[in-house]
Amino acid sequence: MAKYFLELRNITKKYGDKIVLDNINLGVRRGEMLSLLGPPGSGKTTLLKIIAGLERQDKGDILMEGKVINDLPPYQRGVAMVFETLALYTHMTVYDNIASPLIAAKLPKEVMDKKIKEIAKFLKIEHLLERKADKLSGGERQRVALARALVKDVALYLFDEPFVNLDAKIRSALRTEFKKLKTTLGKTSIFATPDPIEALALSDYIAVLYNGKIIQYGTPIEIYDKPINLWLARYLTGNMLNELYGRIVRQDDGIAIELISPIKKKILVKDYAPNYVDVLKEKDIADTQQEIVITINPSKSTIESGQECHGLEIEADIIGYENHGSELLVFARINDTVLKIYSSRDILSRDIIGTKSKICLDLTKAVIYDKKTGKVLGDT
Amino acid sequence: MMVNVRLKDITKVFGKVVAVRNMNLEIKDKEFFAILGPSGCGKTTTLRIIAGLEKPTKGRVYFDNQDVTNLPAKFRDVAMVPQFYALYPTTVYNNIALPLRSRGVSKEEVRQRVKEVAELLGLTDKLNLHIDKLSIGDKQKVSLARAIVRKPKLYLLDEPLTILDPVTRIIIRSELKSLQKRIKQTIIYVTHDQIEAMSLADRIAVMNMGVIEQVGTPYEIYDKPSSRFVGWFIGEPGMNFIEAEIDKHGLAIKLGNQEILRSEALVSKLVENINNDKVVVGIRPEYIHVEKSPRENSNGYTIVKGVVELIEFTGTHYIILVSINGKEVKIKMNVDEYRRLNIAPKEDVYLRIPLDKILFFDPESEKRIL
Repeated sequence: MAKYFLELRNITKKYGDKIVLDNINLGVRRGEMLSLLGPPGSGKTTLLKIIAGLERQDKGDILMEGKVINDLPPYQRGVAMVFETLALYTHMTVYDNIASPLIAAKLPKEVMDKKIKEIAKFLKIEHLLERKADKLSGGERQRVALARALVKDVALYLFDEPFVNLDAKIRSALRTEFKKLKTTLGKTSIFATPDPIEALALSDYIAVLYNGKIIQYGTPIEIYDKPINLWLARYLTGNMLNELYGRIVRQDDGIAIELISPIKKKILVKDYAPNYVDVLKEKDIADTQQEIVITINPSKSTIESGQECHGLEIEADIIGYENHGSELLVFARINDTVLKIYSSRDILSRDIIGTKSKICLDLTKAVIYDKKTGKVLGDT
Repeated sequence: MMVNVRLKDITKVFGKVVAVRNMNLEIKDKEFFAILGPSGCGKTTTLRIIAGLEKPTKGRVYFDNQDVTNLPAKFRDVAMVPQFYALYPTTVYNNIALPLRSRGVSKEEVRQRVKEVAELLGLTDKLNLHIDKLSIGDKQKVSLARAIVRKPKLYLLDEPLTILDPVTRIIIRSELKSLQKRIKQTIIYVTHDQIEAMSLADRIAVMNMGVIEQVGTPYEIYDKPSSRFVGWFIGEPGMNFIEAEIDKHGLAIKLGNQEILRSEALVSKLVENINNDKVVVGIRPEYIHVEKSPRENSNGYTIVKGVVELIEFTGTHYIILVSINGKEVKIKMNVDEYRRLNIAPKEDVYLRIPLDKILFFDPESEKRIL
């Protein structure tokens, strides 16, 4: 049996002179949820359309269970594509809306009825079946549209940003339903989204698309813990990353980082980021005084906790915070850089807003990039 | 200048749609007040009624006990800052000066006031720049400056930060909060973003379907939501709600065969308030601790058994969906804790819940009882 249920080999697509997809190689195993994560215009929709057979690639092959299906028309591919606009027939009941793709497939009435009730139960919309679609709330409507897409039994589902334009609350609720669907029904699916949290939460694997190329492929944790370049690192955290700038220097007592911004300080790599000693002592990095960007996630930083700081301590002005309810995201400014630190809400009772406080950045959790190329250092 | 805004029995109907229903609200002088709710909840209509841009179908609007219901917008002396700035294609200085010039303020005073406001917002060295040369954040500051320079009684802000990128939004938001402390004036701020409301406001009114569900400080609303809607809407993920049974004889609250807690006082209080043998238990996702083995039922906690259904990684956290006798709860934990715990779907787990974090809601009215 083929390793992958769906396999893409060297898929390339141009619109005129513009390369939309550049030599895409990707595999999806049976029962797997793969996310295509990328900003608008990165080629996600085009790739889905090519898989569905709605567009033809200029080069490369699409294989399903090991067989090339390049010439198969869309309706013979066993693929359902769900677009971002999940419009319903507003004058029809929820039941009839969900039934519509089955009627087209000429299924017997009893089979149809059973399928509709199953999926309605799963998506918790059983009580809405007799209601007219225009009497639904936004979240209910989205669930009905999802039920209508999923009631059809196909081998592969393609979702093109199905939650776009929805309230954040409904989005996260649907995200969970979606994941359950995948775990419970074991459907193979590809999910295109520009939202990193959606991709991280939903998928078994993520392929990051940027300018028509897959720049990184891996599990959500692999990708989040070590993004391949600075652009992706920033993108994954919604630009909430803490960044320190400096250069590598060789000293008698070992490799050091000479920090330039936001503070000037020389630190020994073996003391602060021992996991990076091997990477940074490479001849061409240390001898050329390579400029680097050290990135640390806001959740790997603490604010004056009373405990000893085992990382890099920086004194900064606490300028404000974001109240997430369960915790705070605190902002601290030093020399035009705003550091972001997650903190418990107890900190408010200490009245630290507007004061100078000590921030502790855990550099053992840092990921370091080459400033010039933006590439992660030590990626083998 | 002080202003206290009071809405009394306000209803606003558009055709067949009731946008605001019988609203009573008092916004105190110098308060940073947020009106928060999902799209279509009536929050912008409320703001427009306060501004005088909409006339309520029923009810009265008071500014400092003066009935302004029939007073046209231009006489109310309020400044409205919109979601999208509307600036003129000229210098920053001219943009800020314009509202004063059109009111016939003397040249000397215009110069003085523009200077003051520019300083307040950190625009001093940009006054001579053309608007086109500014970043989005600075443009929105000019928009604010234009409102402030008039020295209105009251500021009404309609999601003014939504168009900014996250980092600029953070900075402007912090500046807005400290600005309000300095100008010491009432600000009413409309938003659908719970984090924005929680971060900025002294008090928040949470609206849903034209009705105010709750008014309170950010933590009053977060810790003691008055209804299921508020508990769900505030927090990410929102509060968990589990329907449980009241065992009137055993004086306990049960989830199927599992006893959540036993308390005569509690059960009698619940029975007093609900015409039902069921009660909805509310608990926030971050207060539930997951353990792999059943520990002794220590004081102040209850232990409930469940099965892991699925695990979501969000980068900063893990969300664990656990089913307790077929009912689902979400648990939010940090990454280090999750990695220590090492759990997988289908595994049995024991949920340790602090009793003082459990809330009780009426299954019919959906209002909080305790």
